[in-house]
Amino acid sequence: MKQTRFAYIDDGKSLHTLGRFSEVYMSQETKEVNDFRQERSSGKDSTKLSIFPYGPSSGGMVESVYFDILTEGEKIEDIRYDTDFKNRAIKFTGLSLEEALLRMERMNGVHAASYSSLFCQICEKSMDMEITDDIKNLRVLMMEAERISSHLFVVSRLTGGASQNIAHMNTLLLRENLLRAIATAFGHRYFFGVNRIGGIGRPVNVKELGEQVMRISEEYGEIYHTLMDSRVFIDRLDRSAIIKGEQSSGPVMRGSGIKRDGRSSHRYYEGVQFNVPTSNGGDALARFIVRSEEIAESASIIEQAISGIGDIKLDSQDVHAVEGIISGGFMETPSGDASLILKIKSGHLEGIGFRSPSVLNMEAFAESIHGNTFADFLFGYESLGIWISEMGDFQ
Amino acid sequence: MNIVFLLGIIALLAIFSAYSKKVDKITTIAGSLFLIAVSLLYMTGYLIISPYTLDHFKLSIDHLSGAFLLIIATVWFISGINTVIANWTGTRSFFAGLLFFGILGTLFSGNSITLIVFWETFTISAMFILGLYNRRELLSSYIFLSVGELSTLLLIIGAAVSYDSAGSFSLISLFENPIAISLWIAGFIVKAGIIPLQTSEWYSLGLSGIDSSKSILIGVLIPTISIYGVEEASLSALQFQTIPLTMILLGSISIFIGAIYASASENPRILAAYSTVENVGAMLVLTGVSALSFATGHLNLGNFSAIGVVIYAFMHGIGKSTILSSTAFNSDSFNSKEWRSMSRSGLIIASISMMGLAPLGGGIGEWMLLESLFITSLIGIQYYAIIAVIAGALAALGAGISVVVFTKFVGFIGTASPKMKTSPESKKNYGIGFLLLVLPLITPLLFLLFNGVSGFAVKGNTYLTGGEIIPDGFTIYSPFNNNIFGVLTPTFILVSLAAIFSAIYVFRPRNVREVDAWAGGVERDRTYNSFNYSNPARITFFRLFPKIEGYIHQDYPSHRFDMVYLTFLSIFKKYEKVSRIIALKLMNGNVKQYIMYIMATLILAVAFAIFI
Amino acid sequence: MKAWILRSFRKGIITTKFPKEKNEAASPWSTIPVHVSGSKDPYCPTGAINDGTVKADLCISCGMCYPEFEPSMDIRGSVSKLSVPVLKKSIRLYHLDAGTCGACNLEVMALAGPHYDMARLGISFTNTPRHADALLVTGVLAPGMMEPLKKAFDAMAAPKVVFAIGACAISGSLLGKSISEVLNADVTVPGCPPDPFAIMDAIQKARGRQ
Repeated sequence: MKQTRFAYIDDGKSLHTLGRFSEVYMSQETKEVNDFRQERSSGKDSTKLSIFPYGPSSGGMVESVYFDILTEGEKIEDIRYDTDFKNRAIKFTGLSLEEALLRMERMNGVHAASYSSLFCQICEKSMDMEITDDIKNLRVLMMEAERISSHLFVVSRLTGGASQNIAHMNTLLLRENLLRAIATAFGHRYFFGVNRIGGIGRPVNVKELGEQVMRISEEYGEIYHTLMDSRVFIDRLDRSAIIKGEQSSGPVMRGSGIKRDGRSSHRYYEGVQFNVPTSNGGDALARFIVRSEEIAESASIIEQAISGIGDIKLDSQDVHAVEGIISGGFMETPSGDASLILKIKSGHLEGIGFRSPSVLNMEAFAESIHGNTFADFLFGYESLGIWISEMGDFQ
Repeated sequence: MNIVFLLGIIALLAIFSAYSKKVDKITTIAGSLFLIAVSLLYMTGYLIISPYTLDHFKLSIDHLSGAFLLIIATVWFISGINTVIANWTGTRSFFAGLLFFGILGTLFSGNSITLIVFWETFTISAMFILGLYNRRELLSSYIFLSVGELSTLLLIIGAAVSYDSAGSFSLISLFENPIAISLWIAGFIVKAGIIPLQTSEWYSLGLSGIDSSKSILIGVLIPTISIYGVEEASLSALQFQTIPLTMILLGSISIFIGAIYASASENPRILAAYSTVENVGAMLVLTGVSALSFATGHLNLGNFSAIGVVIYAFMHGIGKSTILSSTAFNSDSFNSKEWRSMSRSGLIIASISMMGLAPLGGGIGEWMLLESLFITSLIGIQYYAIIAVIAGALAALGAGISVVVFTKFVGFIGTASPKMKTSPESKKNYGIGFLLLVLPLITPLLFLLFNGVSGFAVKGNTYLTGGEIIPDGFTIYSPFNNNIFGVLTPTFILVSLAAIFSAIYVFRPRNVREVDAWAGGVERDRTYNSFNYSNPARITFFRLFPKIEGYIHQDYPSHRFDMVYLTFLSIFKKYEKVSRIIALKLMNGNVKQYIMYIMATLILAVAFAIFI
Repeated sequence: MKAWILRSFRKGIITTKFPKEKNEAASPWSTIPVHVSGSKDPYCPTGAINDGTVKADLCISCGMCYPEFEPSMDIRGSVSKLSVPVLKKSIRLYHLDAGTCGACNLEVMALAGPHYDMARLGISFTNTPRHADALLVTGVLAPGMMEPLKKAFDAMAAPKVVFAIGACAISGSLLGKSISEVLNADVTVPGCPPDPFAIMDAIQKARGRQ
């Protein structure tokens, strides 16, 4: 199944769609699945434009993705993208929940904590499991640490692209420090295998993490303010790939002035005090500002979460069989809100519908890049934090 | 048969050819075959062509024009059977016909004014063909025009000088005037495209996207007809010995530098063009040698090198047309599937011929060039001998470099790729190249045919004697005080051909390592093989190539360009600027200003009449 | 400007002395688990555990075998079938993502970061396989990347070394096929994802520096 703008499950009789920031799915009695993904066709007469092919495996890209950049020379007129090169078409249906969780973690390894928490939360909800506040707070802690690490990576890509080498190296340094702290606390740099349905899989030691994260956040704050003084850096980001409107997700949407964050309405974040940083430009600079400010917010969330974590018990609850339940949920991953809808039958997945934030952001990027110059391409693309891995099909 | 009929038929065909692609092809092939037959019959004496005069318009034919008629008709034929024609339009086809008509007229013209008219006809046609494709090619056509008009200007001044002194447009009176003859020969040489004026058609040709059949017309016919002009003029003006000496020097420099330029170029059409510059130089040297020999009384040598010019031009015509056929696509598709999938054998033979290595067509021409220079160095006056030695050294150097040039050319296209299929349509294109295999063996017949092109009486079999395998009259020898200096026997030709081709067969690259271009991991239909750029000699010569790296204009990416071409370009751009100022400030269609011009002219004319 | 320079001085040298000295850190569960207590055959989603031993190539670092097994913290688990002394002074790497979750990509890229600074060992990345001595393949073999992977290998000049980095590339883990359908990996770096130290160690092994 291809990802569309909405997560859905089509069970042959009816179509269950899950809106954004919603845990409640809608059912329609229709057999037709509307593909909400836009068909992109270039309005320009492409015979007069040169096509600059980029990818799938090119230096300078983190992941394998293909672009046809239509250009008259300097200016980018349009972009066609193909994310199917590294499409793994991960199989979920028919698997037990535990097995599916392992695959969910590896859907996007960089945001593994968010996706595994989302998956666990939906499963637990469907089985009416009671989750202790300790576990909830621990998951919040994981997701926020992951958010900082992910944002730091995006910043390192931007600074590296702008040849701000000291800032680039310093952000990489902070990120590596954070990953090492996470590895000490959770036993894995990317939180693989920590989340289990109904609890966590192994003991964690988060006592020192809060202090380390705070230090990293403060240090990043200095870097951020020094970067904001750099005309060279600001000029590179300013007015490149302007995205406006709700057809985008996460920091991209908040960078266009829309104060909407999945965390505000998520049950895990109840009782957590945090601001939702926004910016009005809609360009790469606005997204950079949003991300930078989110790092500080996340650090404060982590502090609050750690204070809420008591003694975590490992004896996780048994997964018990439920009959034919459809359940959905959303989660604010570092890149934006993801929606997941599951159909569970006797402890196994019968259907899955998923919509990743990168699907929305990629469309928004392709729309926005028109009129930018070639040099803006990198900043436009990297500032969105798109992960091609989560845009793949699933079965 | 009256000569005007020939021109009339070709004019009709040119008009018909604009009708459709098929008609164009039929008219070209029919017309060229007709002209080949006419030239053969005329030269063997079976057909008598009477001249035509109408006031100042005068047409005539002699043995030299007959020989060149055979050459240009053969080239026209090759352009007609060329199967790869991109963007056919009636207009372009009409201009191609007109171009050939102009060249034919130049060949037949019997006085200076007629020649200038036809000369201008084909110059303008060629300019239109070059510039008709799209806007970006206008520039190259303008540069062609600027150099072409320089040549016309020289011819017109020459004719005017001659008319001023002798009071007639006849060629005989023109050839007796030293200033007029110098101007004319300079005009022809400019058009032939010689160092440093090689930019005229060559670079323009290389940078425009014109299809191969038209590029044959421009790239082969124009230098051929210019060489015809040079030969006719210089053989009729033997009293000025500085002219042939200058020609020998200019030609030998052209051979050397043309070869270096060709080896350094990375565009197949520019490569072919610079190779033509080299060959034009060779023909110029031969012409100079023949004129010099006649002037110093060595009739045998003079005739030998006069025939040499025609044979060289003939072999060059066939070889270069075959090579230009392969440049059907411009440099973007240099290594593309279409380009590579064409018949290779004919092309390879043509390339080997153009190298002048084997005794193929080009090899015969090269042999005759070096032979005549050798003999000149032995029999001539001391200074002439020195010049002949220098010219011979440069010519030999150039011929050596042209081996590099065509090895590279064949390296790009001749190495077979198992991935690519040959399309039956394109196979026909270079088939004509095989002619160059047969021609050397029947060169004695060509000697008989072309004998007498110089207009100086000589016995038919002066250079032909008993052969070693084939009976009498098939061994060519070069004359040196009634002795044999060098010989070219059929046995030698056969043995060396067999040796060279078996060596090529034995040492041919069997497993050419071929790699796809890396394009992010997806198929891009482009491959590189190990021969393409791995020529150390080419890289060495590339350093010698006077070049500028930069932009030519917005449509061309950063590239290396010929300095001479860029100079012309900047001159042209300055001219454009000045003419724009004139058009806007002075001649802007303002009636008041025009009246002022007329009045000023009137006053000047009156003043001129009164005071001078 | 001044701020950057001062910051650089304040930081001091943080680069590891890794191949000479021991690695400072490791991602615990990315290393091979070893049997500690209890059952010798606990549940393993990839079937990597057999009678108390773990097949490194199959382990996906999920930690399902806890508490019977615990991470060994040994980052030298990579296996190199060859050692190419020509590459001792300098090795250029081309990284190809055949279908990853993204984590392996970041661990490979981390080598260029200040903690690892692979340039001090003469290791550098290139942007085209034409210039590469080694191909670092990460991720399962996605159908779309089969051809680019082949082409990248063909585009390289000999001697060429193929690294399979991470459980996905080596065995296909849970998500798909391994790269062995297209290429034979010369060096395998187990882990999901392997620690940057492990990758660095594997590169050193392939160059014959260890």
